[in-house]
Amino acid sequence: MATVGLKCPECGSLDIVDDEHYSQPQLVCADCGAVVSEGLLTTTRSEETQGTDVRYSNSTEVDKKPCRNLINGIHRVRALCRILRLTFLMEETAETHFKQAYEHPNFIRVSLQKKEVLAGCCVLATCRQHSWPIAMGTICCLLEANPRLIGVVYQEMVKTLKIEAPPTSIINLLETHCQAYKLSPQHVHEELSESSKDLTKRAAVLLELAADAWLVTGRQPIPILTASIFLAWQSLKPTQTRLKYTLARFCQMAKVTKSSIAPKRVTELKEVLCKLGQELPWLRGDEVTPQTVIQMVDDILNHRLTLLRRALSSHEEALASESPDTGSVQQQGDHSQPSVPNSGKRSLFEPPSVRYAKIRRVQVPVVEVTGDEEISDSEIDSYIRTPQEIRDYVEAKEALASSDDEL
Amino acid sequence: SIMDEDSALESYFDDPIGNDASGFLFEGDLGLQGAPQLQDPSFLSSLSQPEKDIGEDLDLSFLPDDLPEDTCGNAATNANMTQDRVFDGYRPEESAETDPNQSAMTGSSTFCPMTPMTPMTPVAESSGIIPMLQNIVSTVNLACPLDLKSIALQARNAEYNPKRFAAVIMRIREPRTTALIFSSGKMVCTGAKSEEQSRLAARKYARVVQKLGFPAKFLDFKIQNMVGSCDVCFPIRLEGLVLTHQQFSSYEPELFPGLIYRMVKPRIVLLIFVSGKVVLTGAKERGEIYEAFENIYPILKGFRKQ
Repeated sequence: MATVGLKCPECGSLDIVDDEHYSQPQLVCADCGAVVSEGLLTTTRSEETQGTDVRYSNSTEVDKKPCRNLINGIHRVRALCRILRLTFLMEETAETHFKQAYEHPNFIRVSLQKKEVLAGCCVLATCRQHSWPIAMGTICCLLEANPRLIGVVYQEMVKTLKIEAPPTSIINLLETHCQAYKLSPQHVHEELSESSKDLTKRAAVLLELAADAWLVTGRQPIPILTASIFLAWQSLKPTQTRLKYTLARFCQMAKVTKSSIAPKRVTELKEVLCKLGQELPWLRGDEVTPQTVIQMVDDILNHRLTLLRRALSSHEEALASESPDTGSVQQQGDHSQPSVPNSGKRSLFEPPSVRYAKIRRVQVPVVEVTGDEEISDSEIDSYIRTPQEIRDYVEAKEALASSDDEL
Repeated sequence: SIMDEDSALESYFDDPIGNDASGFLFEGDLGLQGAPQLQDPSFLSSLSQPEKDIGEDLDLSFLPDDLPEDTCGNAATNANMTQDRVFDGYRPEESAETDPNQSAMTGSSTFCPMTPMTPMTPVAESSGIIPMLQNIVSTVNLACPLDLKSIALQARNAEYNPKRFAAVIMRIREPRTTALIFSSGKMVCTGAKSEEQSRLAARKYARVVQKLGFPAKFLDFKIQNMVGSCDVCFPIRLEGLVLTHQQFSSYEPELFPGLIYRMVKPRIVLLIFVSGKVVLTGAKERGEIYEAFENIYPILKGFRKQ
C-alpha cells in the first residue's frame, strides 16, 4: 500500500510502501529498498487487542476476557440496583441474569442500544422474581429509553433465560408510587398536606373499587394510580381549597409528572363513586353528581359492600322494569347505544371498552368461492394500463422531474 | 429497518410463520407434552361445574356422520361436553331465542354472517360460538424472475417504491386482497377471508403478471397464516388468568392491553381482551382456530365475574 506524500531520501522516489520486517512495521522505498522509517518492535496492549485483523470476538482465544460492553452493562445493572436500593441478593441475581443473557446467541449481536436496555430489563425481572414492586415505566425513566423497546427486549430476555417473573399487582405498586408524591408538611401548606400512610390507605381502597369496576384491567397502571391518589387526597379533607384543585395542579404541587390519561380515569372513578353514592340511604334518592360526590367518599368507602349490593339490586330492578319496553334503554346515566346487542343484560359495571364499543365497519358477507373459478379476461384487463395511459404517466413523470430540476 | 422487513417477509418461504422458539419453549423444556390441563377432561369440567359427575359416558350421537375422525376426537377430549351443556356459554334468556344450529351472534358483531358448513366446521355444541376468519396469508411461487419496474409501470393497481420496500404492492377488488410481488417471482397474498378466496385472489394476481408479459406459473400455493376472532360476551379478569396460566400467558398492561396466550396444542397464539373479545392467530388450517377456541373457552369462563 503506497503512502502518499513521502519521498525516499536516497533516490527521491515517491513509491513508499508499508512493509513488515519480522512484525516490525517499516516504510520502505519500492525502488531502491531504503528504509524510510521504522515502527516500534513491540506493540502496546491496546494495539494487540484492537489493532488486529481478526475481530476479538471471532478469535480462538480460549479464556476470553470480558468484553468492554459486558463490563459496562454490569456496571449499569449495579448502578440501577443502587438507585432503586435493592438488596445485595437482588443485585447479584440481576448481574447473573445479565451475564447469561449477554452471552446468549440471541443477544450477543444485538445493537448497543438493546444491550443498554437489557441491563434495565434484567433488573426488572429480578424485582419481579423477588416480588419487589416496580413498574416498567420506572425503568423507562431511568434508562430514558423507548417503552416499546424495553418491552421487546424484556420479553425476549425472559423467553431466552426461561425466567418466571410474575407481573407486579397494581396494589403493590401503589405504595412505591405514593412515596413519590411530595405532600408532607415541609413541602406544601399544612392545609394541603397529607401523610403518605393515610394517602396510601385511602388510595388502596379506591384502587380496589376501581379494579372491581373494571377500570384497571387492560389499562396502563400509572394513570389509574395517579387518579386514585388524587381522589384520595381530595376526599381525606374535602375542603373547598382542595376541591378546587385540578389534577394537573395537584401533580405540579406534588412534583409528579403529569399524565394525559389520568384525568379520564378520575372521571371514570368518580362515575363509579356516584353510582354507589346514589344508594346512600340518607340521601333519599337525591342525585349524586361528580362535583358533590367527593364529600361522600368517606361514607361510600366505609360502607361500600352494602352500597354495592344495593346498587346491584336496584340495577336489576331497573332492568326488569324496562325489559318490556323495547328501544328505550337509559339507565343511571349509561351511554347506551341503540345497536348494542347486550342491552338486555347490561351489568352495573362493565369494562369501558364494552360500554363504549367502537362502531364496526359493516362486514361484507363472506362470498362462497371454490378457488378454482374461471377468471375473466376483462377483469384482468381492468387492472392493466392502456398504452396511452402509460405514455401519459411517463410524460407526467418527466414533466415533474424537469420542474424539480428547475426549482 | 427495511432490510429486516424484507428478509422477514422472504422468510415466509423458508420457515412456517411463527416458527420461532417460543412455541416450542414449553413442549421440550418444561416437559409438557402439550398442555395436559387443557386436554384433561376432568380438569376442564372441574373449572366450570365442579359438582358434575366426571364418570358420565360421553354421548356423541349428536355429531353428524360426515365429520372427519380427528374432529370427533377433539370434540371428545375438549372437556366432556355433553348435550345438556350445549348452551353453557349462553345466558338463559338468549338461548331460548337462538337457533342451536345457527352460528353465533357473537356479542357486538351482529353483522357476523353464517360460516359455511364445510366438513371442517365443528358442531357448535360446546361453546356455541364459532370464531370468524378475518385474514388469510398465503404464498405462491410464480417461478420466473420479474421486472418490478415494468410491472409497476404497466399495472393500474400497483405501488412500487424501491427505497422503502423491495416489492411491488398490488391490490385487486374481488376478493379484496393485497399482494406483495418480489423480483424473485415469489408472491405473498393477504387480506382474504377464506382459504378458497385466498387461492382465487392469488390466481388473479398471477394472471395479471402473465398478461404483463411474464411466464408466470402457480407453484406451491400454501396458506401460511390464518387469523380469526370472536367474542365470548363477558368481561375477563386478565390479572387472574395470567397468574393461573403463567406458563402460557403474558399480560403487560404497560405494553399492550390484551393478554397474549401461547397455546401449545394446537400451536396458536390468542390475544384475549378484557371485553371478552378474542383474536386467534398462527393457524395453518381453520380447524386449529376452532380447536384453540374450544380449548380456551372453558378457561375463560372460569374467570367470568358473576
